[in-house]
Amino acid sequence: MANTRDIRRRIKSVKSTAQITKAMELVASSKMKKAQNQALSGRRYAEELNKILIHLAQDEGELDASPLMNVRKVNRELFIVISTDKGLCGGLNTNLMRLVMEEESEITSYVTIGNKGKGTLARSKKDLLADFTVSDPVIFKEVKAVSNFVIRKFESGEVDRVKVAFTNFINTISQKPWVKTLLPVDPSSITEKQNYEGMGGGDDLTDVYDQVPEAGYIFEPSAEKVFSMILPHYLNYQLYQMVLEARASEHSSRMVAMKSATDNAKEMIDDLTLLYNKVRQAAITSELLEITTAQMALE
Amino acid sequence: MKLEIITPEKEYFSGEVEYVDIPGDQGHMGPLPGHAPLVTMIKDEWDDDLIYRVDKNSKSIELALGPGYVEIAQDKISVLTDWIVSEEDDIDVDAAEEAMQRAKDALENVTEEDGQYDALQAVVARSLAQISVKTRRKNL
Repeated sequence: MANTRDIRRRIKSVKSTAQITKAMELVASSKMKKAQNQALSGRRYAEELNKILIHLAQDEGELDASPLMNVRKVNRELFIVISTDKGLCGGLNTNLMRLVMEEESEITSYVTIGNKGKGTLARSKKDLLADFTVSDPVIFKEVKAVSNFVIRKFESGEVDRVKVAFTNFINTISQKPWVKTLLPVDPSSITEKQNYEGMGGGDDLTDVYDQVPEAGYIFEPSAEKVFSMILPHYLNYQLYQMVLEARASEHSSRMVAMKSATDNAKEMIDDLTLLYNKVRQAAITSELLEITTAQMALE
Repeated sequence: MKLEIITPEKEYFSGEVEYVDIPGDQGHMGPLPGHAPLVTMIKDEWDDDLIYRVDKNSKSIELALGPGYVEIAQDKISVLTDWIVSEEDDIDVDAAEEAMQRAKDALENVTEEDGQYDALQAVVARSLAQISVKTRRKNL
């Protein structure tokens, strides 16, 4: 049976682990709030962009002039995988990669955001075109570099379709891996409101539709030009939103994982304390026994 | 006129203003109440700034803008842009010049194909804007 000193040492080590996981839980929860707020503060931009697109649609009728809408036969496909940079966030990356593997075909190449996805794909010798890192909190221009990169790949005809895999933030305890097609842009979708269930939340956007004024907008330099220039902005913003979703999911998933780690550690401390008391009691009993036996032998 | 300046990251300014000067695609313009609905692209050349004044007696504020759009409708001006550099930002001109030089050097060895290309281009554009906002203020 283990001696008391060993058990005491183990209790101490489990306690300090619990302290660390508790701290990580708190940090993750505050970071998650930040990511959510960031997503909300980008809402106005999304609304305004939407408004301009609606006016363009009114003016132009069909919006299909941009090369970014070309639907081609898919000879090569690009997959943007938005994973986390650090581990200890439960099954988040594993679930994401499982979905990615399901969607994969022989014509898929990859672009990654985040170290974990990059590691997994590089180890399994996939065709990795580029990898990007995005700091925390997310900086728009870092995401823009990624979307510009894929837009150019699409425009040059190197790839015929671009998909994004990210973890959608549904609520604090539930995140879901998700795949969306980024390019070619679906003409019917661009005047729809751009919200993901989780963080976009709310229906504030509807009032934008109500207050759309009469047509007859002036476009400078021209409607076509504005439209072809606005699509990249629209894509930048979409990808930015997805990265924010993934970031909020990461932090909430880490928060949950760390919370259960802390709970487990507490349970373990309880068990160990019980064991410690038992061992201590046993030691005392046997010592007493020895003393009494010795005394009896003397008499 | 109501003015709103918005980036994907935050709402930079929102409120009533007395005077606005917009670097539009076809040149600068100072829209007044009752302006026809209009959408223009921002001319994001480094020496073109957006200027606005909250009322007659207050100081004009000058902002360098990144690529984006301006929408004028119903006496409201909405400015959408990727980034903003203002004079109030803590700008270190030397550091900006150094960053620009570094990015320019790196650009020599990078093709458009590279993932780094856009990031570097952005650094150059932003540094230029920072330097221009800062040095112009000195000359006033």
